Amino acid sequence: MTGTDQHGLRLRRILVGLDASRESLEALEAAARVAARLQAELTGLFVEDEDLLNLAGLPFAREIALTGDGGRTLNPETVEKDLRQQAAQARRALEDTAKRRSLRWSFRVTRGRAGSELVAAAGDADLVAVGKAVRPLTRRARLGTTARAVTAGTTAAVLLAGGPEVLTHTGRVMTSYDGSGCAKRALALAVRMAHNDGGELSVFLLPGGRPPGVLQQEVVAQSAEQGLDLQFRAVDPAHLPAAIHTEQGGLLVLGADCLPADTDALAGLVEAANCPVLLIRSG
Amino acid sequence: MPMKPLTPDALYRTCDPALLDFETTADVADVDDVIGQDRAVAAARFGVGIRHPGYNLFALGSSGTGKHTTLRTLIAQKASDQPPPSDWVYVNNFDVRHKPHAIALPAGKGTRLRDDMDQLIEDLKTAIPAVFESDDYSSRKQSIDEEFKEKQENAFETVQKKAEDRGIAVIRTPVGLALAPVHDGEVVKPEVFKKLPEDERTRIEADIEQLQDELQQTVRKVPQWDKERRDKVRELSRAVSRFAVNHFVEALKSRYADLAVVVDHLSTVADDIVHNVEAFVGAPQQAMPVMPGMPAPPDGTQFRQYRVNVVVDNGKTRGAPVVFEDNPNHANLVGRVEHISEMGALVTDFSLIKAGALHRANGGYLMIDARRLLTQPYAYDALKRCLRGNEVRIESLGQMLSMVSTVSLEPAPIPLDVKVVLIGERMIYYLLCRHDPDFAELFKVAVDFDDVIDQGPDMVRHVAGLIATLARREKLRALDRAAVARVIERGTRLADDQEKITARVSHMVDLVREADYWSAEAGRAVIAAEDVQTAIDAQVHRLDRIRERSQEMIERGTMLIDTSGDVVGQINGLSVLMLGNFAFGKPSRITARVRMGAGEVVDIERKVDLGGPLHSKGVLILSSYLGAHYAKDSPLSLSASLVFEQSYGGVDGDSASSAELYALLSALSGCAIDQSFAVTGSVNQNGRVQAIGGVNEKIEGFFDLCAARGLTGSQGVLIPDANVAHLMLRHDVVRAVEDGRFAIYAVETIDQGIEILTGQPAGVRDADGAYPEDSVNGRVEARLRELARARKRFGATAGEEGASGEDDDAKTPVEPEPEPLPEPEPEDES
Repeated sequence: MTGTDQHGLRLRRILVGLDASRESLEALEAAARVAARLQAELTGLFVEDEDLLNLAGLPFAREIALTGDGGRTLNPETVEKDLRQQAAQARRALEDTAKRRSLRWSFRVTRGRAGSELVAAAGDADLVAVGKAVRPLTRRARLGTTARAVTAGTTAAVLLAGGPEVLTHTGRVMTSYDGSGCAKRALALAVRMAHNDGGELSVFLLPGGRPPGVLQQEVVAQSAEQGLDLQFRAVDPAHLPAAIHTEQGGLLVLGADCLPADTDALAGLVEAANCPVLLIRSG
Repeated sequence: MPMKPLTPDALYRTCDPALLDFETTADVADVDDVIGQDRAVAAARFGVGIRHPGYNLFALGSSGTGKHTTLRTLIAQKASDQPPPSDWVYVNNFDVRHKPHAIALPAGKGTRLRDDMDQLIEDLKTAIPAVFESDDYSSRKQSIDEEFKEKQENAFETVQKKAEDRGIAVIRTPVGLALAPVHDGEVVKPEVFKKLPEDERTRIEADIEQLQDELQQTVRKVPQWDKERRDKVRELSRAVSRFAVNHFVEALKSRYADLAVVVDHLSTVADDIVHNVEAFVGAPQQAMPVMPGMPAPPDGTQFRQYRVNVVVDNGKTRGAPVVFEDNPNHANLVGRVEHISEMGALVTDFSLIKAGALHRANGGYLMIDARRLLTQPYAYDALKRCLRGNEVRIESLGQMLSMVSTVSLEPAPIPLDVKVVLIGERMIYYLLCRHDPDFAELFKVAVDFDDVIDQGPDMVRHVAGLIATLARREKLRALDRAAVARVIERGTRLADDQEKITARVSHMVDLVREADYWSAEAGRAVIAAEDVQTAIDAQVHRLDRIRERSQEMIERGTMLIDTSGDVVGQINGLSVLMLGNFAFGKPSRITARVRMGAGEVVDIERKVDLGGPLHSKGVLILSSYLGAHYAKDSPLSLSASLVFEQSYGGVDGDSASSAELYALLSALSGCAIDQSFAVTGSVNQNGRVQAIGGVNEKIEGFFDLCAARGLTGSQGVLIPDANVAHLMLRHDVVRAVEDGRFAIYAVETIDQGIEILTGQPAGVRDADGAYPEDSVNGRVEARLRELARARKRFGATAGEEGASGEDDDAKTPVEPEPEPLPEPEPEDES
């Protein structure tokens, strides 16, 4: 198995945005699982938040603890120290995860804004993994600013993980299929992932003018060699988020270019999935 | 007129074959195991029947008298008419967990309740998760969660919106939130902020301070909202779980509607399940050890508290229970609380309560061997405590003695209604009566089993029936009539009385078993009298090694015993040695020496602590006899010494006192005693010979010696007349008497005996009160007068010389010191 499929999709280098939050650690775990299937290399990137450092320099800067036990005055020294500790923590998490799965890995620390730094670093990566909403202030937050920035700003595939509703990590892989090119690329990757992860694949057929039976035949033909356990469900594109939400799976593979351009619509799909979401570009 | 020896028919009571009207025991119908023992049976019936506190039984008697069998039979008969008692179960006490509740249930319902509770748990394991997985529960829970999220997010969004309106952003920090002024989506840099107009900076700082307060208040409210959410979810969980639980529990309640205590317990169980429903909906416990080397709790531990521990199950009991506790230690009597190892610690709960014999026998009868009970630490005390308090309280020895202070269980006591039967030897009974004030209060019924029973025609037939019954029960060969007679005769010998039969049935049963073996060896289909005799001989042979060694020493001259000739002041006494269950007679040489003295008869055995008090008593009686018979008017001026020659193991009993008196009279009179005789019998102050024990063994002991040296026809034994009724001698002895080769004389007085032993007339006082001069008594009296005169002369001379007392060395010949012999066994004259 190599990192390239028949559609030329290469996933050899995976960049993971890390900040030691639960969400980013779940993104790391999801990325590691993909890397292990595709023999890819992990690169961890910890971004020292420039806004936070600027805040610490302000004379009235004060941190309110979420535990409700008061807070503390912020200054550049304590914030830099906190960030160094977080970076070390993120590095250990990456190292542990990579060793557990025998992956090649590297780790970098930069300073700036997480979204722009990840986008900048994504030029060398085939896949960027981030938390769906990194340390969201409210649980209702769908896509965090970092996830939005990465989704919008990079041409690499994006892996979004660590949502608040992640319930299970079964081996079942899910994808949607409407017969378009990007859907075929997503299907190809989903087939590869399913083949390596238990052999179960659920396909949401989005008719869009073509009969579901035809779409199903195409999927069957594309995955015939892998001998997968296929499940099909014809879904109106408008109801795709609801269909995704009720399905229990381990990974959702979507062709980003087949999806609505509307960011909120994308966010709705990502939020609906109870598992990590892998967005594939058309290349 | 010389005394005649006893005729052979007086030496042995033959079992009358006419009483046995059968050919073999195969023709005899079964009879009860109990023979005789009317007193014991009546006492047992009374004790078993009376149902008042303290009327427990103590069956006392020798082993083998049928105590166990009799009581077990009587109790079984009584118990079969009684209803089976309640089952007892222990259940969890949900209020005070270390004090489990005890519940009484009708017989058989204990296991049913246990099974029902097990089934309830299994049902709830399925039903409760199903309720929690239902759409209804999910949607209601989601609604609660959404409400909480809504409230929390609205609060944060309100602050966030207010901040955005003022150009301020909420920033995530490593551990919390902070507020910062933003420009074009980025936090204003410190150097930029410093360059802002002062009023602008002041406004920003004031806004941030106000927003910080609001944010702080919002953050502080979150835990409270979360708690409210959890409470609502918990209420919802309880509501749905109660629905599921009640469905099953109510069905159970209706099944046990007539048992209020069970219904109450079911309600408590239902409440506890509802309040701890996580045990049913949580993930199954992992078998993975938490710490290396430490086993995890077994799966299902969390459900144990709802189960039922049946400690007494009388579901299959017919009648009242009859329990024989073979190992009556403290725990086996009152029960115990076991522990199991969990996570390296010993833990326990009500399910590990184990019943004791008192629990199992509750409502019935408990039989215990008294000796075993008393040798178990604190077991007797525990039994008494339970009987006094009429309840069984399970308490470990460690707790009772305050040796452990860790928290353990204190199971609720169970009311006790039991009849206890202790079975033991007489000595134990009398010791308890004397030393334990509680004993008489708690064991009011003594069931005293006799060692012997009267031998009449009916009893002979009953014993024959018993032998037949036991032979059949143990699948032994049948016995022919002669064999049965021989067994009964052996029973008479064991009773040491021609009018009795031993009540120790086990001895007769053993004899029949062994006779069956020898019958098989002989290739017979039916046990014959020869087989019984072979069994008896083999029993004796297995045990008579010491007797053989003893006789061998006499035959080789190591032990000096004469069986012929005449010697002055020397006689053959007879003693009995008891070694385990085997007794045999052994001749001993007794010698007497006399000289002038202060009227005392010295018991040399006593002087060196080899003689017991009974022996000394017998010797002291001799002094009294001599004084009363021969020295009424003058002081008894002799000093006599009596010795059991070559005795190194100590003697006791007074059965040799007549022999000692004969030796003394011989020494005083100078009349030689015929050494062909041996003598046994005690004597009183009036010269009457009194009965002694072990007469058969004593006669046989001397007979064996004489037979080994060759029976001359003049040899024999003098026994007390009162012992004739006890004679059951061996057949070879009886045959020797029949043939005139051995003689047994039954004497009533010393005068009769001395005439046989010396061949001289004893002498009777004439009208003047004097004995004939040539009679033994006359010679004794003359010698005593001579000694009195000599003492008087000696006293006068000694007074002139200023001397006083006696000069033993000058007048007493020195006895040679006997060589020590290797025979340390204790002897018993009687």
